[in-house]
Amino acid sequence: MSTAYFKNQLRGYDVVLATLPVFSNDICSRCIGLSGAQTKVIKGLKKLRIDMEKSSILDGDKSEIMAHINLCDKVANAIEVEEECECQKTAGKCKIGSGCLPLSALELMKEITEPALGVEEKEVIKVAKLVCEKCGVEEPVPVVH
Amino acid sequence: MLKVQPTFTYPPEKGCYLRGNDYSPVAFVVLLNAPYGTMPPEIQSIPKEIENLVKVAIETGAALSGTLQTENIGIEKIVCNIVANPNIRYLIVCGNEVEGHNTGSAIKALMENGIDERRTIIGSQAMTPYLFNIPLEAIYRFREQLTLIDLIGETDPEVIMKGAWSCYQENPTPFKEYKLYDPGAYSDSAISCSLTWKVKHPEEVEDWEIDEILKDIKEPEEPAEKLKKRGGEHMKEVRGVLTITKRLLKITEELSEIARLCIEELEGLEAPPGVEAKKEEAVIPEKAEPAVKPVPLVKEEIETEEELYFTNQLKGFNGVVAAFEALDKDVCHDGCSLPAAVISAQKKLKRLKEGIDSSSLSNEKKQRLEDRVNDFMERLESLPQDTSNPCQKGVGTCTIGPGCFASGALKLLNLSTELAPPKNL
Repeated sequence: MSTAYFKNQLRGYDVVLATLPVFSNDICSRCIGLSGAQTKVIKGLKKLRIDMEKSSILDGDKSEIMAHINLCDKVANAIEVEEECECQKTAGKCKIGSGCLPLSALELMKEITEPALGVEEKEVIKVAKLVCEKCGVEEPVPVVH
Repeated sequence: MLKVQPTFTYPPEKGCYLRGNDYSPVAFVVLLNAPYGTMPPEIQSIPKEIENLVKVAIETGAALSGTLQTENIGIEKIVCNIVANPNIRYLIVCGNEVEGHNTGSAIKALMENGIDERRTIIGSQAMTPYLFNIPLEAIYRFREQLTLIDLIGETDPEVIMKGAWSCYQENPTPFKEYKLYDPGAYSDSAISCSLTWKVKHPEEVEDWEIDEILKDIKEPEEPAEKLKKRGGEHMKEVRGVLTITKRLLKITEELSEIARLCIEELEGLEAPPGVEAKKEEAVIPEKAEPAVKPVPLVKEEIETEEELYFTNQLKGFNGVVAAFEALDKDVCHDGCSLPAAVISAQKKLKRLKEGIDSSSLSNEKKQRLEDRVNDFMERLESLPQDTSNPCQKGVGTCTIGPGCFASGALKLLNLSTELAPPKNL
């Protein structure tokens, strides 16, 4: 996965994590909607961390992204949700309709569709071919011969 | 025919089931194909026809009969309860398949194929058929001890009764494609185990997480021996604990009764003489109040649909404005989509304010709502509103694809749909 992939994902999490704590000031704090969204964000960040550790992006970028992930993780864990949650629509307190604000905020992550996951392989290939297969020349930057 | 005593803790796991004859060779699982999580557990009712099947099975002589909904925790509880009673040799699974969970096929697959090294039921069509919370020994025993009678899709009580009856016949009795009889207790000791709850929400487990979860699950060094010991010799200790617990329960009940009498007595003294007749009516709400509102999350009382409409609309703005503020710190600050979304939100807010102004709400309520509107207005004012900026996708700084965070966030305002806008809007 490329640096752009991680940065885009984190841009998304920044927005989502700006909204979720706001909802926790409302009845959502005792709702499975917010609790579920929080869990998904925490898990998503965990996955992002694992993927990043496995990826071949530059060390400088890695530490920058890692710091960003850690920050997001901290915010996500700080969202105040009660231990015993139930759907507030079921409880008769949420009357906005069938939609759910926290889960819809999480949907913002779906706005991110690029770079596609396949891009990683292309980048790895580019890096791996720093030594040109055809002429054997070692290139300082990836060049197509 | 050999029959044995189940473990002292039998059945170790709580659940939606009835306990019948401990020496019966058959247990029933009625698949609970009903909306999941749509009602709080305390008022969630099981559909009558399913409840009836559970009762019919127990009345016909089953050892245990209950409902099953989830393909992970639900199955784990069944495993624990059944391996604690070696007399149970048949598991009849009936009722309609649980939509979305495919629990019936999961339990069938467990019996046929077992689990793989990732504690996932092999060949199951269920979404999350993970058994992380029980010992492997219990799963092996479950499969060895039992024969599964597949009645998935069957809801006829007559068939259920015939199935149960066939299981405890001394001679092989034909029932559908099976020949059933009571073979007596399983030859090995009962296994006493309960859920470890290392994974409380298996439904949330993603495939990539399983390996990490497995690292935390350590099997006991001598699983079989230990568990059987717990099922047999360990009983004396358990018996002692049970006796103490029963005594404690009795003491608690007595103390509770004394406390109740004291409260009644004291309240009788406090109340003026004429109020005595209405004592009960006066006491109950006072007692109930703290339980109803332990956390006063909804501060204002919403009385009319009109007020509810405005309150709901403002809930959306809470999230939208927060999202915009986050985007303002991003590349969106220099783009055109955030300003366009901000302007759109401002317009909606302005319209909402006009609606509140011309509504029939009391001045106090109007003021309270308008304060919130003004707060949002102020925050929106401080955000970019110049739509002549270039789109950041065109510039090459936004690379998320055709989607847009700003316009996506604005859609949160469309979620409040239950009430139609008041006529003045």
